[in-house]
Amino acid sequence: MASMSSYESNINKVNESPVDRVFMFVNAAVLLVITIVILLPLIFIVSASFSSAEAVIAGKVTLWPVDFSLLGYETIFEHKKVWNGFANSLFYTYFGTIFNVIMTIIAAYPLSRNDLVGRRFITIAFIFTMLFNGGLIPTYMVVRHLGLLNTRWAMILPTGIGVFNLLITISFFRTTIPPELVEAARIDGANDFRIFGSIVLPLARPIIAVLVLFYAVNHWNSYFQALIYLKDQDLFPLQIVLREILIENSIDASMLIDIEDLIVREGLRELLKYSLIVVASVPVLLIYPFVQKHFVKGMMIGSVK
Amino acid sequence: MSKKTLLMALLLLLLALPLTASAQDMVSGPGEFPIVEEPITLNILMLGHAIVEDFSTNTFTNWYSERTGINLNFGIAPPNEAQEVLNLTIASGDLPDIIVGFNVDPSTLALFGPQGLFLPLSGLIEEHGHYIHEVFETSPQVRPLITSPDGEIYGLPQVNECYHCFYSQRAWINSDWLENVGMDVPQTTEEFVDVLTAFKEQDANGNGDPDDEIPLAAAITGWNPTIDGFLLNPFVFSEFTGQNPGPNRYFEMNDGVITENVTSEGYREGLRYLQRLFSLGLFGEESFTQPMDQIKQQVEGGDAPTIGVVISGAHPNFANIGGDRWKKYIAVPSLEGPTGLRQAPFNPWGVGSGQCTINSRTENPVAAFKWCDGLYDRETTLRSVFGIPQWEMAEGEAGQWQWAEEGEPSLGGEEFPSIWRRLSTFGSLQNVHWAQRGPSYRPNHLRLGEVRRDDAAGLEVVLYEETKVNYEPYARDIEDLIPPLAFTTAQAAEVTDLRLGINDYVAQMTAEFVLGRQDIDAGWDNFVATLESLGINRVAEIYQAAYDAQYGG
Repeated sequence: MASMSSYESNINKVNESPVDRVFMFVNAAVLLVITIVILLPLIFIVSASFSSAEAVIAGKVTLWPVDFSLLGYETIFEHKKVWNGFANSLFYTYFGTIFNVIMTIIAAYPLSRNDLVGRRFITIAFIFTMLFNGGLIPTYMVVRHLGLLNTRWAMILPTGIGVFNLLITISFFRTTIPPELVEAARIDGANDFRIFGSIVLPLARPIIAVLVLFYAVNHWNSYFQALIYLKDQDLFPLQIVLREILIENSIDASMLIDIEDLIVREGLRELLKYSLIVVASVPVLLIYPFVQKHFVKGMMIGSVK
Repeated sequence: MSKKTLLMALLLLLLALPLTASAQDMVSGPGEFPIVEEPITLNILMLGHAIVEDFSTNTFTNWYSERTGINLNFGIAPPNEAQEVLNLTIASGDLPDIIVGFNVDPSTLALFGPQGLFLPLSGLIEEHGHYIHEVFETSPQVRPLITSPDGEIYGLPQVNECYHCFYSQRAWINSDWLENVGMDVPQTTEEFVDVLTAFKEQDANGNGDPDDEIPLAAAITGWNPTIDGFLLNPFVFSEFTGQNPGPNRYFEMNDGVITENVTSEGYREGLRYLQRLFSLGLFGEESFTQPMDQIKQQVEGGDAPTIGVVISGAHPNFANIGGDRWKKYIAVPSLEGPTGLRQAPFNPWGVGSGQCTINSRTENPVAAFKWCDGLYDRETTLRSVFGIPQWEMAEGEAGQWQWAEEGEPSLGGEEFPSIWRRLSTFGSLQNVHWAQRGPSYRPNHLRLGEVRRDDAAGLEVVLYEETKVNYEPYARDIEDLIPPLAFTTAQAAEVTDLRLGINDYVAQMTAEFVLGRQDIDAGWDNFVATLESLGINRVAEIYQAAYDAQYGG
């Protein structure tokens, strides 16, 4: 941290050369363009969600809401499936993330210690599952025989650890917690649990923030697990409901379609499309500021060894 | 107690044993309700629906449970992933008592039925069926269509004889535009070119700008939306199109013989025609890539629509039914080709297969069957599809339908006496009916026996009348239509595999030919050779074999 701030103050002292200035200008211009490219669709979605469906269909909405309307949001409020899904997604994300982070940390720390017997083998065993797995149906059978099918546990337990995240975490511990520190603690009379609780965990805050973000976003966006393990509509996460409403149903041409069905589905889709996207994105947007300061630091971890 | 009485008691007990055992399946006679005296519960896997709030608390669910004495324990599958959930359920062997609403296709039924996964139903139909017999009698096409190659029936259908859906390959032309350029609805391919050219050159939409008109547009999503569907039929029989093209696309049957027609001279002529339209600038490249939503924006946007002709099954696809502009789009009849060929593809089956299958290991097979059977009853069908009848509503509240009164005009005119009247306008999210999930029976006379209305729901009237005048007269002979085929496992695997390659290749080459990136005549031999190497003749062979096996060709 110290070296970074002195680096910044150095920049301020030295006069910028013309080349540097050009560089900074181009840099700013490019970033501005990228920002606009990313920001415009977001603004459009928010504006469209506050516009009437007719205006959106007619393509009248560009930047600001046209025919201001809250109908989309009102419909969502009345839509039991959506709220139910929203609550479920929050539940899975909250508890799933806690579970993931705990599992990952307690697996990663021992594996980062050189004095763990069989460390190599265990690590390889973890990595093995990253490359090979039993496939959909065997996994389904396992979940079924464990009695997890159609329970909330099925959304939390089967993906306890993301191996990629585990590797990042191991690498973090390796680089930030030198063996000397552990030795010093031991000399002071701390056992391994004490070392883990009093020294490692407090130092692990950046990586925990990163893990929280990764896992939470993953849980929030996941739908496949729900799709195969859950049958009870009351347990469905938001993503399943979103897909049901938003994705243009592909029409099987040889089948008969009822016009009424077509109208109702199209109408619902148009009405809810943008407000649903907003509702579904807000929680993730809300997490980010809280972990962001750790995130930048944590992401760099493991990149330099 | 003497020994004798004890013995008697024991004997009685023994006699009673088989009785109690069969009490499990003690059910009412055919067509009688409730089905069971003591309420039972069936596990049901139901395909979800975006507009049904909750099947387990649904008004129809409650009503039917009361009527039958059978309670349901619902599992719901998300509708976009129907096939995945079904496959997983079958592969895991973890079947519920009944699977409802899935449209399990004939090949799946033919594969897993004989393996003992699904209960064979023909015995139950004979012995306990009631409403299903009415279906078979009134709609004789149904029984052969749901019978597997081994002669058994493993899944009960949904029958929906939707007259206008039979001819869903349609195109719609803006009547204001026709008026503005002073022309009539085109009847032949040449007149069609003339009209489109006029649209292009003049200020057809009347907004003062002669250059903002797109004469013709097609899309890749929606109901029969593609450019190479409706417009090929004046040249060659072209089946239903879209993201999931009809199974028989690129094939046709004449006198019981199935052949491919994509390498035929007619097809090539059709491609030439499309190429001509494109090179005249009558439709744009985007017709090969855009989703229907894009067309909707151009129809609904601005001060006037900018599209003259849309290829699509029906208006909700490309216009906002709540608005007014859709009413301006009238049907372009099946066009007459240069050889005098004029035909409308025709899909008269109206049968969704496998809407109700029963687990062969269920404890209550007869009750489960009777539960499905009861759904074909007329009133039950109207309740499950449309909702609550008016007479059950409190004063001042609107139900969804009621019986018609004497002499009310029907949708189908004189021929079809009116039966019922729809009261709801098209709603959205609801919890009173099943939104067409599961078995139901809507024969032609019921659909056309709806009381005629001219308000927002009048779309049904428009579609009926346009179809009657513009498409039905040109319907292809029913004898020359390939009916839905049930394949054996090996056949199904092979067909799926080959079709994938063929469909992709034809779609790609159609675009290349029409957009002029490849010359149709120079590239034709190569096109034909590639299709042959992709196994198009093999597919025809398999279709023929399946057809012969099922319909005794």
